[in-house]
Amino acid sequence: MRSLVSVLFIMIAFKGIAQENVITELFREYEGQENFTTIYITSKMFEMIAQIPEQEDEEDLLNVIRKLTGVRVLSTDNYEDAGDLYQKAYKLLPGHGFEELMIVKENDKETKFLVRQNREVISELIMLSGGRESFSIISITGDLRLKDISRLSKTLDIQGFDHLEKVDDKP
Amino acid sequence: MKQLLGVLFFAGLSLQGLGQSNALLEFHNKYKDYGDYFSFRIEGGLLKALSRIETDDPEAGDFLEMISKIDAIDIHSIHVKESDFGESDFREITRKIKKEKFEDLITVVGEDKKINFLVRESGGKITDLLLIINHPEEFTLLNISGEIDLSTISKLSKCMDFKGSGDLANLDKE
Repeated sequence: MRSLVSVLFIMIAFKGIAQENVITELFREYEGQENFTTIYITSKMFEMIAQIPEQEDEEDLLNVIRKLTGVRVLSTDNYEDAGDLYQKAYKLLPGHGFEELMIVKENDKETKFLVRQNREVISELIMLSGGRESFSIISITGDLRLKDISRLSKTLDIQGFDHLEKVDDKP
Repeated sequence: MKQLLGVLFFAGLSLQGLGQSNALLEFHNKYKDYGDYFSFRIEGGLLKALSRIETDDPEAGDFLEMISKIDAIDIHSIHVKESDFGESDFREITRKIKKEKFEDLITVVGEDKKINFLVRESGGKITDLLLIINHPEEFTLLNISGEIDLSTISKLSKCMDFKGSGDLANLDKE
């Protein structure tokens, strides 16, 4: 019986690792390629931002920042196969525990928000966006609630992210 | 005996405070003889002297107060081709720097350049801030040591015109 439990645990752990890999692999594949930029922000950075004084009035925002463990961005605005890449990335995600939160379509541009969630806790938020020649994927990991994400979206100056502002108004 | 230990301890501490990272020193020693090696050090004394300038402008005042806390700013820069600085050298120095308790804050990878922004802490305070810029033509290390807070850096990078340091100006927005 015990061994069954441990096998289960190992499986769950592996599943976690596998999920991590989809996005990591995507980043690795396109990192350093022509017209692509990748940005990695570590949890250390958020830990330090949360320590900056003179922002007591934004205590709720700091509480959200403290919960972040990493932000990764992969983006290009000049890539011929941006549409294909968007589809490819999109197809990868649902099979790995991500659920769609919202889709926004503007002109020739589409933005999807996906989350990986365990009950109330959102462990990863993905913003996937693709246009004719542009593509970007933003991954935010942490120990987040929906209202945290709404709070973040008000502050982060990321194009498209403002769509999330109203997200916690939903039931 | 106790006294001796105390003196040694304090001497050790102050030396540690003064010296820059070994990895940077090593880099300096290895490349200093190359023709286009560029090295630049601003000592804290100069910055402290500067900070005594009287000003009515509050923004300038902030800036001056902030630089008075900096012990030194070091810049090392080499021409990649002429110094024969390759990918393995880059990996080697990054490894050494990480070994000295520098931690990654931000990494930016563009199609031809890579920028690492690292920090070193001691007792909960930032003691060093290091920017590694790996550009196909130029490899640059920029280290700021002293008592630093992040809002300081974001102000500083606005004042400094450095390849890649513009990326830091947006930091406090995030």
